[in-house]
Amino acid sequence: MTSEEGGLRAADRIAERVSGTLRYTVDVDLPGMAHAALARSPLPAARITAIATDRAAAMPGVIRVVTGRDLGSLGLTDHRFGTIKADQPILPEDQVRYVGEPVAAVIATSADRARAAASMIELTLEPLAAVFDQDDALAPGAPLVHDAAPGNELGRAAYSHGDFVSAERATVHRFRGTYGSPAAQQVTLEPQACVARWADGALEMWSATQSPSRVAAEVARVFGLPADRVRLHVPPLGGGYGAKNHAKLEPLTAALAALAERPVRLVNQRSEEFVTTTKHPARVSIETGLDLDGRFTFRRASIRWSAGAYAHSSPAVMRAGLLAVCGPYQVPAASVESVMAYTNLPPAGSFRGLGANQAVWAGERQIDEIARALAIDPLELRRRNLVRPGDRLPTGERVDGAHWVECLEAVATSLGGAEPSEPVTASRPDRRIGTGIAVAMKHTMTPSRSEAVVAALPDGMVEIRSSLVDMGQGLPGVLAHAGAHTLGLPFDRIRVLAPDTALTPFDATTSSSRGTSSGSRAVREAATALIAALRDAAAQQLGVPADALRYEAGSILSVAPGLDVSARVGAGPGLDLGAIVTISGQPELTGVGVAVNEPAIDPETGIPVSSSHWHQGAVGVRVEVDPATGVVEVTEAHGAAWAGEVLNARGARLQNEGNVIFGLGASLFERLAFTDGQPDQTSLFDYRIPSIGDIPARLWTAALEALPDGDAEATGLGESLIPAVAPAIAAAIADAVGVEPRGLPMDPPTLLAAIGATAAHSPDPSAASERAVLGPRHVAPLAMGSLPTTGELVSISLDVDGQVVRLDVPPLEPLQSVLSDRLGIRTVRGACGVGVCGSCTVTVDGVAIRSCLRPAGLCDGMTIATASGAPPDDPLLAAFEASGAAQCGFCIPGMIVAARAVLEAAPDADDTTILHGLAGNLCRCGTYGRILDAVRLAAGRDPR
Amino acid sequence: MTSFTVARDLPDALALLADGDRRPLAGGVGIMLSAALGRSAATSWVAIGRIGELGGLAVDDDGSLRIGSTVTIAALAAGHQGMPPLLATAAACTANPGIRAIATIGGNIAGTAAGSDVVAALVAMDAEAEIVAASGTRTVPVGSLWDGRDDPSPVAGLPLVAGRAATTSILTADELLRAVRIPPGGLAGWGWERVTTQGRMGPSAASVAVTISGAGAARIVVTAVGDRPLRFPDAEVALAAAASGADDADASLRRVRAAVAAAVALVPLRDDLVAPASYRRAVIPVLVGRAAATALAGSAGGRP
Repeated sequence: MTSEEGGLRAADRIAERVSGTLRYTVDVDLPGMAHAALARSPLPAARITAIATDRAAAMPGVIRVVTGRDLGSLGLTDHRFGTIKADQPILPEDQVRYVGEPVAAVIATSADRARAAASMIELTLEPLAAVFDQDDALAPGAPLVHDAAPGNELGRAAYSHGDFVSAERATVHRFRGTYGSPAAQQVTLEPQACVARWADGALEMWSATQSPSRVAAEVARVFGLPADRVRLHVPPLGGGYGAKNHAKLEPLTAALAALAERPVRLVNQRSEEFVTTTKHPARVSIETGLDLDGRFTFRRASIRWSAGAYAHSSPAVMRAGLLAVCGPYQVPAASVESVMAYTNLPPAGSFRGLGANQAVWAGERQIDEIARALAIDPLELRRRNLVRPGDRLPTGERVDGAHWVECLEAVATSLGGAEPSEPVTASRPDRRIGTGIAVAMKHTMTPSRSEAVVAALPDGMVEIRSSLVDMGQGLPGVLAHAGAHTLGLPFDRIRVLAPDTALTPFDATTSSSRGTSSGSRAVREAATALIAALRDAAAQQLGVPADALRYEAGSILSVAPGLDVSARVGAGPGLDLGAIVTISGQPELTGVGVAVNEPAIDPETGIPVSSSHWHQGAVGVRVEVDPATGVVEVTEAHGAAWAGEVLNARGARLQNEGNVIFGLGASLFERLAFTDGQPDQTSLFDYRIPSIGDIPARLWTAALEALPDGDAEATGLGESLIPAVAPAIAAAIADAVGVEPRGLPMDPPTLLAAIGATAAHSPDPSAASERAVLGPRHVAPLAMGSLPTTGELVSISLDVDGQVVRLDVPPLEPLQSVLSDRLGIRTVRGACGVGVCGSCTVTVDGVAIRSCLRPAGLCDGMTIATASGAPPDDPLLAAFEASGAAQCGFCIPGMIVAARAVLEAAPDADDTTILHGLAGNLCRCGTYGRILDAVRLAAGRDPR
Repeated sequence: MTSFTVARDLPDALALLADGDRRPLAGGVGIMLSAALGRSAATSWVAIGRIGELGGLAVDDDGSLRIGSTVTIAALAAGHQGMPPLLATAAACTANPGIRAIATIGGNIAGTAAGSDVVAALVAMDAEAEIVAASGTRTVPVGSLWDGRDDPSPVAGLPLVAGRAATTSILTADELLRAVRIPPGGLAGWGWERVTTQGRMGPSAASVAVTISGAGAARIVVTAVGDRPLRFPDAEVALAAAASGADDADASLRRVRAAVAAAVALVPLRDDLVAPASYRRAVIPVLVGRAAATALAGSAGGRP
């Protein structure tokens, strides 16, 4: 291990994530804090006739019940919020627009009591006509989601470039297709959470948000407060993936805290997550022309999105798709339209790969269809058409930093090329193998701004202040790297402050994979400014000109002959930065840096480019398809993303691997379905995400760096591969069994229907792939069920991590809530509540179990070991730390308890045993590869 | 009001259950899950998990394996000596390790899951259920635990009820499943197939157990596709013919698949978030064919 690796791990707080001592927003607990729960609309569109709150208000522990009308007393400047477009009522007074829209809130002394009372709120709703599909919503005469949005059009963006007349003339081949993407859910294991407290007319909040500066500003706007009266803290997030971008619970929580006149915490239950934010359903129609040489002559595309009822990030998604749909190809004539429709579904928001996912799925899928139809190698077709530096993108803008060809070639080499040197055979005779490859492009938020402050403190430490959010992606490591290398300091002299809008400067948002690029530039600039400030301060105190001094590795040294800097303070060869701060008489010396992603102006057209740089990647996969069941196993995945310069190698690798694993779910089985606006799935029991058992046996990724004299600007990797995952898998399926998927997910029923349709010579595989919802559906209630909490209590005695506790509990209260809520053990998380995710794993009498499904009443006299009980020098924790096996970390303590059970049963466990033992512990960040390494290491084997 | 009573012993448990208002609670998985998903109405429970007579594995005098109803799925999956490999294999597919460690075979059978993997294996091995109540004891084949309800299917051998989502067994409210008994004799061959549609850890869309007994009888059982285990008598006859050497294996397997396909075409199958009925109808013959081929290979001297 190099000190740099250790420093990066320390900056990324891996030890705290592994030991479970990291604190998230859901852990914030203020003195006198009350808890809120929401009553939500059961109808997708309705007029609110009455809200009866008396029964709820009379429930035990209830402090106040709040409806939209109560907000009037707060004197808000706007009852609607939205970081991009303020169209969402904090609590609607007159109308609801989606199933799950909050209509009333209960503030009570505990979350359980608040939820129990919220279920007693009676709504009288007059149903209105609703519309759920984007094409239906945009059709003439459709019911309006918002009276103020005629035609249900939230937004429309378009571009047209090139000469279609000559393009048509050159066209020999022409292809058309429509490609669908369904809704999905981000599934952060830490749900949306917010805490608000008012004091002397100022608001202090803690929120699990990806956009501290914008959310604080939006809350200030809504409440009519000057910016400095709103202070927002952002602890590390237990997963983001876009779900926590833009304002969500913050305006409502702030309003509830004001009305309750005490601190209030609002945390979504898992079921509520499914109606809080989703991935945009989209339908993309593309027509592509090619000339005789297999070069694109034109592309025309039309994208129609379903935004749900409120805007959230929809305008950004609309633009992301617009820019990505034609791909990083030379397309002489291109015309694209992207239309965002309001629908009566929960608001769709940012989702890892934002808008590019749906667009690249369509654009790349069609290119593969074209390759097969024209019998051109799909790799060769892409090579022939990809942009090189200096070429023009389909939008007409020149792109200099084009590296898609390098990504594609790296993947092709790793995958073994289109024709592997050694034939690969399927693991079972009834399976067929196929390979597929795709490229991804995604813009970054342009223009956007990141600011950083780098402060030298009297104790010799350097503090980096940035409002970029740590969600396990390795950004603190990136910022520490930028600071350490600019200042020539070891990592242990650098600390990165968590966002706190009172202390950390403006940052646009931690999304759009922009943090690495913008944050590192801002920190480098700030650190450079700090060096100047240190030199100036030293010169002033020493009474010498600044140019007599130079900075090196934390010290100011003399460059003037005869001037001995160290003599003035009596030690060392130079003047340490801490000493300079001390003698300066200031509390600290600071440098400020600003990184602005300004669009370059195209020198020929004079038009600003649409993205300051592009996220670029390629993915290749090998699959095995069982044509008789439609089951697809991705046996190999290879990904190469352009990084420019890698600042945090551990984080970069995990971002790439996480991209692939996140993409697998959406490709193969994730689909959030709605029936008449009701979500079909509101739990992780019904909505599954990839497990360690789903990761490819071979997962290779690379973060490509520039040559020493090349384009070495560090670029984020959060979304560079994900858009290419689904089209690569689809191409491999097509290669294996000859069907051309046009809808997602490519789950076994969908694929088998397509294979059957192909066998029956059906001309339209898309009809089969967009499978209708069949038969009677279970519609889960919006509030999670709970066992009755009234009735008799039972006395239980538990030995928890060596301490004996006695409690009176409802007999069927989950052991998990006893441990996490009553005893405050933060390594036991009830992230799903249905035994699926494993974040609540503990051992009971030595056996690792799901504590969320264990009635506490059955545990009397039992011995419970949680992850919190592990000694600090525990070798398994050490193996996880050494392997860097944590991203957001929310799942890790449960994972470690499960891993310990595996190793206790089989101390030298092989991979099959480890995979089987951990298959029930879910990590949405996709850390599985490193987790496997950690357990191998603990089992005394070489992680490779 | 809720009530929760820890039974001291089996007679105490049966006395508490006798009035029919309480539900037995062993590992608690099914009840907790139903409650968390908002699908449970029960409010009174009798805890039976620590009753010695309900636990433990034993080989009876006649050589049958007796599995107490509170034995965990993990204990089955561990596949210790004497545990039939088919049952261990099916148990290892159930849920996840943290659930298997607390879920019991009794709850898996009697509580919520006519669709379980373990049930498929048990029915394929012709297991019996010992059922006790304060009023007496009865023994029924595990495969009949969902029989005898209203509206039997018109299709012989496929007692599936249209459109009914019920998954509870014929146990009455005062009864307890005491143990499961697997008859002696072992198997000449067995096969196991299972398909998921939502990733490796997703719920089963169809679980198939096929056995060929030492005497040459075949059993084909499919779960997770309806409200009770499906059996396929015609296909079983065809498979037995191959096992006895009376028929060519490939031809027999073709007949097995055809018989299963013909049977599933006529019955309503589960249509849910896991898979549409049409998918189950398409894959059941495939999976049965594969499991039957494996079983046949075993009976012909392959794996036991």
